[in-house]
Amino acid sequence: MKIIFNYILLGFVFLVSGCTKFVNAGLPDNKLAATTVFSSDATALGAMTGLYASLTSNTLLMTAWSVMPAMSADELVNYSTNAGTVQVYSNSISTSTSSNTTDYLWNYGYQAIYIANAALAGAQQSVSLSAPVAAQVEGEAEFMRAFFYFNLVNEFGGVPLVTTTDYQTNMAIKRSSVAAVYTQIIADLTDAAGKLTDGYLDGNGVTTNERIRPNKGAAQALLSRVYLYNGDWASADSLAGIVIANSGEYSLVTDLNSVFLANSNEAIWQIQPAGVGGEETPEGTWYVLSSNPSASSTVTGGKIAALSPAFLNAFEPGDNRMTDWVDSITDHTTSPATTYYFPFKYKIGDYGNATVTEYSMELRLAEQYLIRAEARIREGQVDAGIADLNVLRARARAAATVAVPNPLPALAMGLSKTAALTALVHERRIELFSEGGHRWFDLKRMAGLVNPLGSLADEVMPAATAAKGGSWSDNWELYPVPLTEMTSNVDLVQNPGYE
Amino acid sequence: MVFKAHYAPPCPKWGLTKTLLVMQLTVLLLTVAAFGVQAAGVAQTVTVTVKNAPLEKVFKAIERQTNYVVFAHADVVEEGRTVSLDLKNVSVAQVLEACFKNMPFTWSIEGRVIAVERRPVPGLAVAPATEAPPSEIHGRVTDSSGVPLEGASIMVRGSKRAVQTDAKGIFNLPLADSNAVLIVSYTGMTPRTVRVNAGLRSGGALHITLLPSNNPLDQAQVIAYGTNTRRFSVGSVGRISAEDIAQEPISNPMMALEGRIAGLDLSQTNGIPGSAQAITIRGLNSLNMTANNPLVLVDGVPFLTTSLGTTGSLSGAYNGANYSLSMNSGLSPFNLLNPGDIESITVLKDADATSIYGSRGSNGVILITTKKGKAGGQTQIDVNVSGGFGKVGHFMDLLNTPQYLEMRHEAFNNDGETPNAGNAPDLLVWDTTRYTNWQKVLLGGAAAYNNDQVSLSGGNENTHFIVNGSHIQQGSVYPGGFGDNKNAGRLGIDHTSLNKRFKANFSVGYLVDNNTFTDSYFVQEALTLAPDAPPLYLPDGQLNWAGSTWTNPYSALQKKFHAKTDNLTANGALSYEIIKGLQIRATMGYNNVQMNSTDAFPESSFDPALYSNGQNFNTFTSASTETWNIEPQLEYRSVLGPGRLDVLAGTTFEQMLTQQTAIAAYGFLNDALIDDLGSANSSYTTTSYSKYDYNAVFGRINYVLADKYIVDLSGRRDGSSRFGPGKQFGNFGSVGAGWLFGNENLIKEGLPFLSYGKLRGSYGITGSDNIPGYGFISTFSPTYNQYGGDNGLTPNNLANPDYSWESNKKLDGGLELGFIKDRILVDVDYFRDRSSNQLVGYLLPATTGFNTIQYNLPATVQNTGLEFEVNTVNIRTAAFTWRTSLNFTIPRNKLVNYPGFASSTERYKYAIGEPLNVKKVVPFAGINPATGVANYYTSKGVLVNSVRDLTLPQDFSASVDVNTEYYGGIQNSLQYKGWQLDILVQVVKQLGFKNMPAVAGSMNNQPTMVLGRWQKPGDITDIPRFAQDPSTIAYQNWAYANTSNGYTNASFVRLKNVALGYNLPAVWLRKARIRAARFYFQGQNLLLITKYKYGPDPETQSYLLPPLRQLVLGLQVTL
Repeated sequence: MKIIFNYILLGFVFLVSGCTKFVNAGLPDNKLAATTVFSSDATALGAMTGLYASLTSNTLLMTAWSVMPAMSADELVNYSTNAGTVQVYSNSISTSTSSNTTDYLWNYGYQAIYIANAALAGAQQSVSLSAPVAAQVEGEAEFMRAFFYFNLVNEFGGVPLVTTTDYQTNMAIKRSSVAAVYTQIIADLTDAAGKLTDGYLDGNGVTTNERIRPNKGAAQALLSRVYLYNGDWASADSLAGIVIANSGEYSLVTDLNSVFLANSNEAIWQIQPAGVGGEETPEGTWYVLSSNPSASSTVTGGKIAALSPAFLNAFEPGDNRMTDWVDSITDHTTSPATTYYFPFKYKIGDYGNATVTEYSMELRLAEQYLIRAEARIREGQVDAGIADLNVLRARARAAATVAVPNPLPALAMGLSKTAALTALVHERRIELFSEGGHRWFDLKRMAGLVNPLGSLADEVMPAATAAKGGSWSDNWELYPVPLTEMTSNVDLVQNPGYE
Repeated sequence: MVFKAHYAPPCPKWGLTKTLLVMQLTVLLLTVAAFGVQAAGVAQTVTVTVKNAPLEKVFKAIERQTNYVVFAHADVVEEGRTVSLDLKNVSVAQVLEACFKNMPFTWSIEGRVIAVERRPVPGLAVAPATEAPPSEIHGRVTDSSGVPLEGASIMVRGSKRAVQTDAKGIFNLPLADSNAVLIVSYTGMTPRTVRVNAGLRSGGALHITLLPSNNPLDQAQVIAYGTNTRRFSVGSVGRISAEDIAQEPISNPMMALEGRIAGLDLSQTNGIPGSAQAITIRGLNSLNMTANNPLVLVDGVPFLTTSLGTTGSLSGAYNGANYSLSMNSGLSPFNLLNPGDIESITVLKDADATSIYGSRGSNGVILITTKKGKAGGQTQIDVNVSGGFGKVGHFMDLLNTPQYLEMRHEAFNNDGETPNAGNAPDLLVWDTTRYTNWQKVLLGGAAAYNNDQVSLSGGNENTHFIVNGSHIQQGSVYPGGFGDNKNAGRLGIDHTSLNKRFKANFSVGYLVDNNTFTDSYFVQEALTLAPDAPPLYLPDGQLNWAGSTWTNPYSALQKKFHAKTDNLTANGALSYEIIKGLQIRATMGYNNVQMNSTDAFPESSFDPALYSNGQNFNTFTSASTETWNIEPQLEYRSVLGPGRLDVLAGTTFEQMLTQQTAIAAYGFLNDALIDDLGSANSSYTTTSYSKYDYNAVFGRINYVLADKYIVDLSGRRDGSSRFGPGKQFGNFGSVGAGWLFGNENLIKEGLPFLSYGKLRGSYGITGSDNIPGYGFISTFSPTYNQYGGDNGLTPNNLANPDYSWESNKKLDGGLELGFIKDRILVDVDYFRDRSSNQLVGYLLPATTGFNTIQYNLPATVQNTGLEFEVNTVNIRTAAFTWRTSLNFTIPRNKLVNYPGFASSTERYKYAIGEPLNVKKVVPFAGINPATGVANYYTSKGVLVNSVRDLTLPQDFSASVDVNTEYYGGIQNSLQYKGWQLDILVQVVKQLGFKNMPAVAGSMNNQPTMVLGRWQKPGDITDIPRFAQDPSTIAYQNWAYANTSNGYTNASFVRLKNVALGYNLPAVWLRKARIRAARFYFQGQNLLLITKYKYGPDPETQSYLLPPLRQLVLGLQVTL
């Protein structure tokens, strides 16, 4: 028995010496120290892989950036009675609720930007990464940062420009001008285009067929879009041209039903659905209806909307994009029967399929044609622009029938600039509908067709918003800065109309 | 009984090695009170017939036939003399006389004890005993069953001399006065005064038996690392006993604290069995609302205060996996304790009581002590079975179908819209003549309750044991067979060596809990479903989805939730008395909680029309928390000068490892395979891991001077792994003092009605490390999904290497008074706790990439309060007793200062000078009589007609205090012969949230009070017009709750508990050879008086299951 007590006494002695060691619990089994992450190639690339993985597992964000702008624009009819959804849809977002559906865009956007900033700084400071991996990590991080700032600046206007991971700086940061945000985006994409490779690489830095991580073409494609938005026609023209000329990598897919398949030749950058439950594209699972649109679901839940009659009426006869990219279901229990048309670019609307065949399309070649067309028309090379539009029209053209003897005719050369721009707006609307917020951003950035001093939104939205049960104001072009953000950063200024 | 011992006769050596000698001194006298042999006047005659028998045989015969106990010295027996006797029906004295006639032994009878010892040898004999005053007195103090009382204090009246007994209960006291009066006291026993018998010879021994005290002041209460009594306590301590717990039909022992302890605010968040409660002791100390949990120790082992997790919380895990839930939600960890195993729960409140727990005592400490085997050697079987049921106490008044339809049509009219099948299936698709009382359908069931406990205890003087088995089952008021089922077993053994210097106790408990409560929304549905909603089933027995126009509430019955939790607790303590008064001991504990759950959403729980292939899913969760601790301690108790000294020093090593793996699996081929992970089409895994290491040295000095003045000092140096390098250690301590002024002669003589008076106070610093680990280092963890076949890493947090201990300065003052021989006891406490250097997850804007960072906020939060406790014995006669105990607390909470508040991210959440859980709101300006829409004031006092015209958060210019204004409980206990009635009433005064689940006019049922709404211009009302279109201002205003109108009186008086018991008369029981039997009835939540109408219960204040009304009958038998 004495031995036991000797041990207890020993315990007292041990205490005096062993304290500090005992209370250093070390790192948890499931975590790595940030400094370790950027000391080896595999984990440094893993940090970028983690960014893509967190996007794809976050259906809220994925649907938020592609669907919410579509809800705000004139493309859809909403059937949900959810208050937050109705507010986004009817351009009447409340500023008094503690959280809005649009907050996702801001909050998750900055989370992604944090990761990009951390990866960029980590790779830049690391002395142990191999040169190709350092370039890949930095290029991908710059691309992703630019991608999110592009979305944020179009959704919220001049947002705070966060380029470090220092919370003390970032918690009291002020808004930047729209121009300053674009300057950063252009710098990032230019740098990324220099660092990224022509071919696609995977998470180990090895060449792959999967077009799910940005490469040089992706940086150029996004940069051409950014130049277009900024009115730098020459740069947009030349960069889109470089991408289009890269026919070894990219080509238009003839069969419209195959455009949105995984790694299609038209894809410049896709996001692989590799997330929650069933792993299908959030766009497909959101849009593709198997029954009436739901009244109780939400903008983040999906299956609440159908295409608007105004949009459906915009299709020209003999356009295969109507037959291949739009589908419908009919409810025969009502009298008369009700038919709902919905976007059918992605065909898979439910979960649980054995293999994933579709990826979310973020950048595709057709858009580059549209960018070059617009840049050329604005530059005055109207016919060159029309030629680009005709490439897309040709692809979408149905076979001639008795009913439609002249399906989707090619646009005539020699159109006036105004007529060419009208055709361009129409072509963008039809080609890019329900994709990545294109229509919403176009309405806001493009000059009016009737009154070029105003925006396209000024011409389209008053009627569209009225049809949606709201009333239009220029103020609704931007979403409100989240209320939680306003309360936690004194220096932020709310967007007009939401103060 | 023969006591083998070595009696050392007085000799000159005595004085030299007194300590050692005393330790060798053995018992002279020991009494054993045999059960049931108390009847006075029974003739004690004996019949002894032996031939050449050893003396032992005679002693045994006497013991068998009488209630005398014989104590003989070892050498009496060892000498091996034999005796022959043939005596019939003679007195004990005659037997002894005959027995020792020719032997060198002498005998004496004191009380029920017969002492036999060697006759003094002539020549060595001192002067005749009757003449010489004893110069030294030796004695032994035991309880009524003969168990020695260690540390009993013996004082000589009128002198400052005092001694304490050793492990064997023996004391040795130099004495000058032969007529000295000794005052003998011991924790939990009635103090006794003993006049030193002049007949006691020098070196002779005195046996003093102490009886358990009925005076609550002298009952033992468990405190940090020991026990004391209220009388000698300087700290602020509350306590409930096994009897209090036994009165309540509960499966979670913490529920018994509600309404019984001043300063402890406990409220149920949900009436579902096993769900968590919010427990705060003396208010919210931390701005970090999840860090206000008290420290809970079960037999000295830290017990988890957070749930091991619940289900369905896996989505949105962007910021890394943190699924642990606070005490305020999920399954309560205390549900993993068997109420029947618990001997007492002690609540430590002030610095004096808690500072020895250092960094963890900031929010108070709850000590749970399990039952130990009872001393006395009686083998005893206790059976306690009870059963009953619970029901929802009262339903809300909701609209009936005609009223509901009127509301809906009016809402469409107000909005100027026409209902269509999409937005109004309740008007156009459903059968509008139907009426269903959904509260009755979904909440109208009776939840079966069963609690069966069996225990076996016994042992001998050195070793006791208790074995307990229990089964507790609780059903639900919902449709379907949801329930919680607990089976538990526990074994406790304690042992004392023959020489009493070594002591050991061990206990092991195992509990298995099976919970099948799914995360359904029955309560919300019961209260909001339209009364004309379709039938649940189609005629063919299939669930009715009514063309996807509703979510059938019975689809929840298709979901399957099952959580099985195993809780293993083991603890032990070893102690050894090295020299008199100095004890070395070690306590060790181990606790392992394992939870495995599945939460299945089969295809059958979805609307088939909306179901997409592979949407069925199941979440498999496996979580464990493993804790061990070792606390070596040294304690020295001695008499120092005129008082008693108790010094404790010790150290703690503790480790807690928490792990969780959750697998969300999708796309099962068939619902029948949904519990098979291998059958899932896809799955992803998330893990969490946290290790906590804690180490401390602590010490305490307690000195009681002349039973009047008490001083307590304690200190602790703590290290915790939750802090970064260089910040791990902190120092904490307290000073406490008490003055038992009632013992001053001046008071005794001047105020004879005052039987007890104590003034006490304490001040000290405790801390808190109640934060998640690893916040000081920036980490990445794997993403749970792969991308492109590769694993990713994602950042977990923003790192702050600089944060350290939060400190809480606690000031406490108490006045305790006893009147009329302590029949009225009053205890008034004032406290002021100021916690600063607040450890919070500081709110950050999203631009930082995260929501929070671990941070020391320089803010100071102050909790002050007054606590009253009154215990009275109103009537005490032989047949009838009426006792009342009352507790009452007035808490106040205030954010005292917050440097840089105006620019902090929390400036719209709190206000300086106001309580922490103040709600910042927009001032409400009433309902505009012209439009029927709610109006508001901006911060500049401008009246606006729409929430969209408010500038938020700047217009949060008013605040509402939702702190409890006061709370308390009053218990009356009436005892008449075999009957006992206990009634506990709970009182709470507070403001509560007006919980409107939906805008009146939307497709949701509403409380009938909405009928008082605005209908036409000129109507003056506080209920706005009905609205149904979310894009209208009327609707958005309705939905806006953050106004000064959003809160209402949520005070209540609850008849919390009624327990009626009847003890069967002893006469009946004796025939049946049963020691005790009791029938009882228990009723819980029998009556609720409240004005709160915005939910089923003002305590839960939400559309969650209210605390149930429980009725239980039971039978308790002791064999």
